[in-house]
Amino acid sequence: MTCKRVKRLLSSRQDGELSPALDEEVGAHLERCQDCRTELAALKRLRLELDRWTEIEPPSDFPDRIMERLQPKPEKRLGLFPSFVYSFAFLVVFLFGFLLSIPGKRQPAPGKKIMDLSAVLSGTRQLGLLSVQDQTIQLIQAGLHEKK
Amino acid sequence: MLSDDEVVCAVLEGTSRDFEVLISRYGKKIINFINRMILDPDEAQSIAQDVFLRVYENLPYYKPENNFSAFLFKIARNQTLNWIKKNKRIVFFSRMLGKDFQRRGFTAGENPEQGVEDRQRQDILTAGLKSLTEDQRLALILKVYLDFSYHQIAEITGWSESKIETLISRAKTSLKKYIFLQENQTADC
Repeated sequence: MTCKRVKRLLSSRQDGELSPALDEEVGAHLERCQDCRTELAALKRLRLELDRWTEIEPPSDFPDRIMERLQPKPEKRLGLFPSFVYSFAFLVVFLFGFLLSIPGKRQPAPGKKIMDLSAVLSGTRQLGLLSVQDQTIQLIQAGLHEKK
Repeated sequence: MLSDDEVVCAVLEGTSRDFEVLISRYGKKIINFINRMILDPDEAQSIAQDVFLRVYENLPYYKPENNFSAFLFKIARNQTLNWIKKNKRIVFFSRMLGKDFQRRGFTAGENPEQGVEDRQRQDILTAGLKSLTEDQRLALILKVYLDFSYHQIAEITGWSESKIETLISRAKTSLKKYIFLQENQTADC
């Protein structure tokens, strides 16, 4: 067996991966070859260096953290749509409300509103859907005028 | 003590609490395996948590005739390589800026002078490990620190045993050269 081949096998031999026959052959070569023994010594030194790298300890709550993540999460109350749908709906409602609160030219004059109201009430009474007395209508009108 | 396969069966039968046994059994090994691959203990813990979650999800696909340890480390290897792939740029810049990942994996000696010497040696070793390719580092860590056989490493990585043999041998050769050269330079100074 040549030194080149032995040196290639030294790593596997160190790892305990050689067959018994091959291991014996390499061992016999090492007994008579100083150069290969030097190579083996260097490998052993490297192993010692690698063994100096100590292990880190996991935190004491490491298993708990994982077990916690494995617990089934409680179902969301509004789980039908993603949260952004609700956010969007809220935004739309808010903007709509905001726009309605701005006084605009299109708003009917207060007087017209009162007339409309009395007309609706009178119409409803005529249809027999509501038993609203004329007096009640007058009282509402008087109240709205005062408010104005 | 229950075997890994017995614990897996218990978990699959509904006693998920038994999964904690596997976490306690393998948590430290998994964290250290990942830390040695990425050289960042904090991230290693975070990735290790994800590994166990992934293992839990994949337990129904585990075949008892296979080695549970190999099944676990296969997932750990995949998660770690995914992390490295995603964070390559961050790791690169962190190293450029000199963020000291490596020292946290070591214990300093009790003697302050010894501590300095230890740190120097450890820095050299870490730099040497960084100089390896990811495949070489993975194969070396699985062999040296986890004592897997080449056959088991083949199961975890999907590589042939001859490839593993070559990777480990080359890794050792590179490390030897790197470490001994650095030591000689330090001694000359």
